[in-house]
Amino acid sequence: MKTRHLDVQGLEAPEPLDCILAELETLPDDTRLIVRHWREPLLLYPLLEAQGWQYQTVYDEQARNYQITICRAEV
Amino acid sequence: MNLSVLSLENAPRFGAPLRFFASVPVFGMLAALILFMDGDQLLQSRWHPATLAITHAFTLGYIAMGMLGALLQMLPVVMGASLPRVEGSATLMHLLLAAGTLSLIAGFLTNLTSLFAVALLLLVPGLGVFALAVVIAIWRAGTAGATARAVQMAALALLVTLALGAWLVSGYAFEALQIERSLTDYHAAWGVIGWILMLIIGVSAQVIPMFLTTPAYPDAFNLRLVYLLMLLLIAVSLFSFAAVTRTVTVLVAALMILYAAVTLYLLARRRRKRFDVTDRFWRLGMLCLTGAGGVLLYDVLVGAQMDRDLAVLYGLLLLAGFAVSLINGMLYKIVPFLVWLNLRLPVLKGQVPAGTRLYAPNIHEVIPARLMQVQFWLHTGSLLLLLAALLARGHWIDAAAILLLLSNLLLLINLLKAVHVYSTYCKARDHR
Repeated sequence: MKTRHLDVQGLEAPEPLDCILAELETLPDDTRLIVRHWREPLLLYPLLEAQGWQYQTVYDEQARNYQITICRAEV
Repeated sequence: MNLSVLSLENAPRFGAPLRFFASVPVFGMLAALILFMDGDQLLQSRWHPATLAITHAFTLGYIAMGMLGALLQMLPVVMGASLPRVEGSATLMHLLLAAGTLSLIAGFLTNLTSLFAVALLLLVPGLGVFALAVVIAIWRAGTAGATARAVQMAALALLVTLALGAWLVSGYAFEALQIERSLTDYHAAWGVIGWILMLIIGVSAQVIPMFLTTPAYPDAFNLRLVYLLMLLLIAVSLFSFAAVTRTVTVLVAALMILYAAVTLYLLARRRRKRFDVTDRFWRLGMLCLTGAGGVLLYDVLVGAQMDRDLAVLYGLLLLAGFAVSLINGMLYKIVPFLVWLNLRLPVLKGQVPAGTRLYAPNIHEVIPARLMQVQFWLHTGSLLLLLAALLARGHWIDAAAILLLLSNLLLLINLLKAVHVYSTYCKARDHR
């Protein structure tokens, strides 16, 4: 599976959410999106579920940020 | 429990928090009018009725009003907790808080006992139920996050503040009861250090990096500060010996200065360097908090015994300087964010096809930047003139009141501009 990366750590709310949703609009089915965010994007999850995306969030202790992997199939 | 679904489904609609936010500048204008009428006497003593009236116009009408509105929105979205029947509860709480605060202010200004009784009847259920509901909602949500814990501590402090305040007001309302003036310091400490400062410290861990693109606060820094402040408040309330009070005062002042210094350090390291009026409001607020901490230290270490000027100066820096600046600044982030969120919600919930980004405005265009900057300078000017009035007496107080009035009038206009943008986009969307 191909991978796209998106770092939204320098953006002010609600730009991270807007950027992620815009990126997903053009994301091919065979590609996963890996987002780096300084906080857990609680608002994003119900939207992903509503649109049928699979996602998994991991906290990176060293980098002190969250890594959210989003794709069409199982992560 | 599914935290993510809870977040959006239970977020209140635009009108619920907005009602609180629009009331903030109205009480700011009321404070300006009291200042205009009784300014000279007001700066003489913390016990003067007009001083008590303006203090509660700020603490209840401005600060608590802004904080309750923000919490209504933050509880579900940031903490995954929600209040039962949030729309109806918000309407009732707003009504009780606004009417109760007006009664209390009118009570102080007229000394009519019946007004104090009405204030008691309105504020105790209004604030009491809210604080209890917040504590229970966060507990039931099972959220272990630091912000949720800090908000829970602040809500407990609000309950203590309210209980002490109710006891004090009972002395004014019922002739058979004595006014327990000795409780005033505890009421003020739990209200300002507990409810206001602890809540701001807790919430800033989320909102400063989120809206001002700063690096995060050090790990657990904010929650540790909140726990320390809570312990200090409990210590000073249980052991009212001079040595304990002195030690607690020094520690509280040191924590205030530490928090302000760390926040100023983070603000200086914003990832996005462009001018941001909320950043200016927060810097000003943190300078005032440092000043308030300095006044406390001076009082204890130099032994000035908090004379009238210092007590009023401390209150001025902490309430009008620190808390009001921060809330004013945050309104310029939260209200445009709510306009955006509520216009985007149908898309976000999947009720409208994707690709409909046109339905929401650019968040930076909801309130004109120029008007927000002018309002910041009016606010800063009113603070400087209030400080000048405190030092020079008489001459500056009317000018300070006029600037405070204009500042809050412009804040109201700016918030109404956001409402106008919201309704314009709603109409455009409905016509598609």
